[in-house]
Amino acid sequence: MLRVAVGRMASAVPLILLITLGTFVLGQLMPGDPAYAVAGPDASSEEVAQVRRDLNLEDPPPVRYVRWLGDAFRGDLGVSAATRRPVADELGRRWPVTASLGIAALTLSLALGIPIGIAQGLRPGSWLDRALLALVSVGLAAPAFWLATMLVYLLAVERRWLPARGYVPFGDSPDEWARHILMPALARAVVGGAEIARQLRASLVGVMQQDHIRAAAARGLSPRVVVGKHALRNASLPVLTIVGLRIGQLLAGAVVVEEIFELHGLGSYALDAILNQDFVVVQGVVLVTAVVVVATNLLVDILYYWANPKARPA
Amino acid sequence: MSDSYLRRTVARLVRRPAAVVGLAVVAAFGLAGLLAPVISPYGLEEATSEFRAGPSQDHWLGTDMIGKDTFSQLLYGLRTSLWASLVAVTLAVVAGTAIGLCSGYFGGRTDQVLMRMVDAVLSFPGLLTAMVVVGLLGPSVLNAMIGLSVAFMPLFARLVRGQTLAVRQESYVEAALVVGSGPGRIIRRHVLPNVAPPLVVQASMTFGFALLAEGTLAFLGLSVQPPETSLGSLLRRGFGAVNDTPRLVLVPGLAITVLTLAFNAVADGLRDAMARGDADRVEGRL
Repeated sequence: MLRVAVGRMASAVPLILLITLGTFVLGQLMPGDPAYAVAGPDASSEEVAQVRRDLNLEDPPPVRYVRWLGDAFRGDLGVSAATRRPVADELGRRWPVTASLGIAALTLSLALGIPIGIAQGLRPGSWLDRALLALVSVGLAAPAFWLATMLVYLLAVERRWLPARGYVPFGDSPDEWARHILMPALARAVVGGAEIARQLRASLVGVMQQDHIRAAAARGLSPRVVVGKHALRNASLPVLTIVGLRIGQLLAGAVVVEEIFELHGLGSYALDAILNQDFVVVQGVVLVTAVVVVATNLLVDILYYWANPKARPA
Repeated sequence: MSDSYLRRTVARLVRRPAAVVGLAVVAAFGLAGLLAPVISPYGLEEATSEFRAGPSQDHWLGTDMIGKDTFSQLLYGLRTSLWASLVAVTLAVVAGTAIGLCSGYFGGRTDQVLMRMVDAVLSFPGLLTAMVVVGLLGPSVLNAMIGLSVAFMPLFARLVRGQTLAVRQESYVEAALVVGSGPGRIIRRHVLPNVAPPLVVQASMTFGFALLAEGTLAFLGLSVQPPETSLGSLLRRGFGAVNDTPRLVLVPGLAITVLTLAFNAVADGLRDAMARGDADRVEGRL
């Protein structure tokens, strides 16, 4: 198991390098001169030249990429051209917002998806299965930005139950944190819940037809034990993959929801950077996402091997 | 794809109510988008003097806060959204197929280098890939389409590579090589016909994603720029007036959802209809 983990980690490093290198190369194609952006619109040509020297923009691109990589390794991701604040500080400050949103959304998707998937998987073809199938299909097709905006109208405008925007740290007030995070998390959880339900249903239908489940039922074990102890354990493995994918979507999915609810997390940071063509920030956000994705894949793999010894490489 | 295979696929497809309804919805929306400049009662930039009017004879879906007819806006939005998704998926299929064919047919170094790059893109969340590409190239509907095709391309490259590898092992390909057929002929005659069915299924499945993703990019202002409109940007403008005219959010959102639902139903139907062997198994989606 340890060998597997180390091997996977070793193969993850080139992947992260390749992703950051790809972004850097794309960044070279970007229109505009970053030195002008940093120096501001009123800067004289001497000031721009000074900035260019300060940021080492005169060096050839390969040198700059290697220097960026070295700095990143030491936790320095450069300075934003738009706000002139260190990217690493800003990422650290905004991280809890996006993590809160991600954890709440994942919890809600599991709470929605697991019961629906089980209800469907145990009686495939029944009227309940068909009704839930329709619900899940709509969940997969409804865009998060539409659900979010409709939730704002229904729960914050029509009924003033929940705040329409903003974020309160958990440490300040757990109640207010929950009230502020519930709607954004729900808007994201619908797709996740639908994906989990669909996967769980499909794998449960397959598992329930297997011999060992039929044998367990034939031995007279109660349905609760057969499903809870034998079937769900096997059927939950593919669901793990979906959960891993959802965690990988942590940042991508946060962008639109953070924009609607005015949450100042990593998603809104990424969007501002993209709209301002703030390349240093884009590069930093890409790095963080790549690390999250790779770490999640690693974790999912390890859990997979732990839960299913047959999947372990010999 | 032989004639009998095609006939069987169509016969299986029309036996699925969800797929048939989906196909009808896609056709209706597609036609409405295609004919938007002809059939829409008001022009794209035409403002009337009625602000935030409710649905009426003159304005089937009412008007927005600057007096634009919502039904006309919806038709134009549909046009852009469908066009953008179609171009994005087509670009992804063409680029992915080219990469997959090279990788699978020539193998070796070519394969290793191409697949490393494909896997790097694949490991990254698709929407974020598209956003980063748009960020680097600048927001516009063309760049949004390019960004989305970059995000979708790895799916097709992987699929085509796998199929190509499998076909390359077949004895009829060896026979073709023996009689002196070149790569072009072998790819055209033997590889592409085998790759086509799964490629069609994957492309149809990607369409729903493309529609949702383009909607998201447009909502964020990363796709079409005013006065052009797509379903996502229409919804964004409606959100500004959600307090008193929720209809402006409800209508475009419903359109995206129904259209995506229809595309997914067609894709699922195609997948099952094109599957070799018995297709009548329990469904995972509508």
